[in-house]
Amino acid sequence: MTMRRPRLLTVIAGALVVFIYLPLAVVVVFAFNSGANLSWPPHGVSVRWFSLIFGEEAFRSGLTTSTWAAIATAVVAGVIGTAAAFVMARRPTRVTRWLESGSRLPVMLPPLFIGISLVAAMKTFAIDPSMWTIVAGHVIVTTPFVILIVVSRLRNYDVALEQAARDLGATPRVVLRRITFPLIAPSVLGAMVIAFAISFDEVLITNFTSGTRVTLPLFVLSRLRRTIDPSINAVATILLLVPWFAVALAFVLQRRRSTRQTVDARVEELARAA
Amino acid sequence: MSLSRRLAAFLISPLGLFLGLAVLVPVSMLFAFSFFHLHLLEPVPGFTVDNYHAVVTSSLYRKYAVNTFLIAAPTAILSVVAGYALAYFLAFRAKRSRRFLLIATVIALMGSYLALIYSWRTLSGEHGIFNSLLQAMHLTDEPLGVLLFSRVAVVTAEVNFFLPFTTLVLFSSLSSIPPGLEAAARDLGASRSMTLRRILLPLSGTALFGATLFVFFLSAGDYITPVFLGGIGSSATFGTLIADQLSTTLNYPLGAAIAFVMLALFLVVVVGLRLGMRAGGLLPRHTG
Repeated sequence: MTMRRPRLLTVIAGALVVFIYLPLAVVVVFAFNSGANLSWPPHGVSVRWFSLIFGEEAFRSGLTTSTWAAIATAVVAGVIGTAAAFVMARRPTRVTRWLESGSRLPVMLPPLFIGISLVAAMKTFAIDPSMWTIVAGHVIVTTPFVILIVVSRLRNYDVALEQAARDLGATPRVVLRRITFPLIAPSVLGAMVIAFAISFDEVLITNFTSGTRVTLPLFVLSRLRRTIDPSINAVATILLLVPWFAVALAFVLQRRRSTRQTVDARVEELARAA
Repeated sequence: MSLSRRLAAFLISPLGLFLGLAVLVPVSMLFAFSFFHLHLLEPVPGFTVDNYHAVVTSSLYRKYAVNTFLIAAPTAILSVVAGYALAYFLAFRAKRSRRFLLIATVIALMGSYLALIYSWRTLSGEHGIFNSLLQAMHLTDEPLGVLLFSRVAVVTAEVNFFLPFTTLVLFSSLSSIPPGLEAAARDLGASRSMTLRRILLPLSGTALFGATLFVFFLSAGDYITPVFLGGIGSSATFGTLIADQLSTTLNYPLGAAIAFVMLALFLVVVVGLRLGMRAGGLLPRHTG
């Protein structure tokens, strides 16, 4: 008798997962659809939309711009965030706590607000839109994730490992290189991949900081303003798959110790970061 | 390993410098702009409260405010309620499927925002998949117009976008509750709904509060979904209005003033939600 309600919950949970994935699946399915019509059922399998879109100069330059912006964002946010995370985890003071919550504030604000603030600053100081203004906007929203992930890693491993190394005669520099860095490297890498993924798809801030430069999301946005065009499915699929691929790659790179547990730990870490 | 004071200062200064130059200065500039006036399409430094006056008194902007609320509030509530159901399932009910579903949710978190908007547009269009399915099943003769260019369409797409996020935040909160607690309450005779109201919801109150506000703010500030999925009336949100002032109309002072009015209204929502949740016993009464 008591089985009925849990089963209802199972149905609801299943429906919600379908709801989350349905639109994503539709994009991918129709990206490989040979017909030009976007109605059910699709006609046949083809990569014509991909070859069509890769033939376009505007798309290729958008892909290049987005990739470089995402790489730059991952590096800058990774360096700034990791350096700051060390201080926050190992030498917390009133100032570092203040900076920790201050860095999280932009994530709570609508990206629109960040975007127009940057517009105001660029207008005031006569800064022309460039790759750097795009990256600056992306670093604002990705650094908090890096800090969160690296700080939680630094706080959660056994500091006795470092003390033991010191007791055995290792200099602080050796401890850092041989103990601390290897322990936090997977988290730093994971955080940078998340920064890459967020940056690659960012459009709400980029719209204000890019000037005439067109990133991949901005390319999709300009196409959306026109008619529905099946080749957008192919671009949207790339927008989806590149970040996923990056995350998958990060998992594979860490496979040396990748038992089920580390994967689970990483997933929970991501969940907590969100 | 302890850090020397000098090394600590060196390591944290890039973050401080960056936050100062890329966040603090720009937001201050935006605030200053809201007191400027427009002369020959150029913002002129000065001090006038005309922009704020125009926003607060105009009935047009009141309509924008109401429409923004009618999109952001349902989006936030639906995202959190659905996210709670899914998170509860993940934390307490799922066994073999838990790992798989958790990974699926994290992957969906990285789902592209624009891909979703585009997909909902093709799904709900007049000749889109929903309508062609409905017609094929003879459930309707003519394409349903309400599926697209309506408030419903905007809210649906936004809930779709925020659901993985609310699910994971609430999961992380629920999974820290000992599973035995629920069983104990049930053993002591509490009904399911009572266990939910008296045990689970209060213990995840902070996460509920944070997730609701987060989704509400982001939905209210979204200026792309309402344009592509909303109709003439339902696309008129504060987000689209502000974006318009700063990218098309180029009335920076007015756009800045609207943005700060929106932030002030956010504070009202924060206080209202906190009071409401405290009255409902979902948030502790004493914490500040």
